[in-house]
Amino acid sequence: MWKWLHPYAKTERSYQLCQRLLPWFSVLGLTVILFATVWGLAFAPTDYQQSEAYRIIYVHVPSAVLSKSLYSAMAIAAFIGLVWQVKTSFMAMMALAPIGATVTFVSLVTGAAWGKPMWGTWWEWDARLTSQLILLFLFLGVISLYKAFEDKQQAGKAAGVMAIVGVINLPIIHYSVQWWNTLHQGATIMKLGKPSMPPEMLWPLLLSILGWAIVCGAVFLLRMQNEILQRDLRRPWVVALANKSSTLSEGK
Amino acid sequence: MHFEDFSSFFDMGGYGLYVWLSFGAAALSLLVLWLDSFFSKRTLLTQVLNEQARQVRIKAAAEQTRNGETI
Repeated sequence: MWKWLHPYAKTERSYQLCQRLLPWFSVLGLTVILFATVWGLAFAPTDYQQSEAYRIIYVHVPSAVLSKSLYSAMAIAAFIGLVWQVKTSFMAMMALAPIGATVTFVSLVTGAAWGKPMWGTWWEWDARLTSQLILLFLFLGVISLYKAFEDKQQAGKAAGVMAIVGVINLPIIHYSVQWWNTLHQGATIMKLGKPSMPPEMLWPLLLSILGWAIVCGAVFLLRMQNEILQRDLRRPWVVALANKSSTLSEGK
Repeated sequence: MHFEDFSSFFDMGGYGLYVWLSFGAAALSLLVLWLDSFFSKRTLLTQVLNEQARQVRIKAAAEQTRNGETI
């Protein structure tokens, strides 16, 4: 397996792999996310307690789930970068951080828009909301720490340590609804036993989570390419690539 | 379709503002993220081309002064 993986430590190979996967992820992600959103918005049955307001779930839950998964992915990339000194790993970490920050931001905004009609307030300093806000600050912290260093190897190490330390926040977010008295409801899907939701509501939700994941994957591929280009700006293969893409766009 | 007509779809049982605010914010955020990623790639590639053109100019200028000295 290592022999097979090894070429991808080389930046050019990783760039080409991203290039090849990008159209598939983009098209599939967009299709799934649109399909699931339309299903959730227009076709799923109404909730007996919250009526139509519950439909916010079809953006709130995917963004919240993805915010945690992206943080885990970023921390794993940071760990690999720190332990095995893999350069591309830090690039992956930095490609993931802005996506995670965006998705976390979306989960907070949609949460606020759901909180106002249901709890009567846009924001409350309760355990789930506050720990999710800290997650956003962790993403932003990793980005700014990385940008603060001129030497990118050192920047990767510093930001990587921060990303790994921040992992402590993930179980806090997950169990915050059990450990503290909070406004936020408990887990619906991610729990032992059957999810407490009828299938005609659950399916569009699961699909939209999948759609969000694939779309985030597509953006990750694009940002990974940018990180690689940034690092190899003066390498001959990047110069050749830039020339090729400029002749292509002139030909149009 | 769950809704009877389009106006009830937009109204969302009176929760229209909150539902559309959520979906709008999500779509806008993802769009901005994608645009940023897409245009930074283009900026990087033009940066490479500019640098290449600069190197060519530097080389040409150096050549010219060398020729000027020999004459």
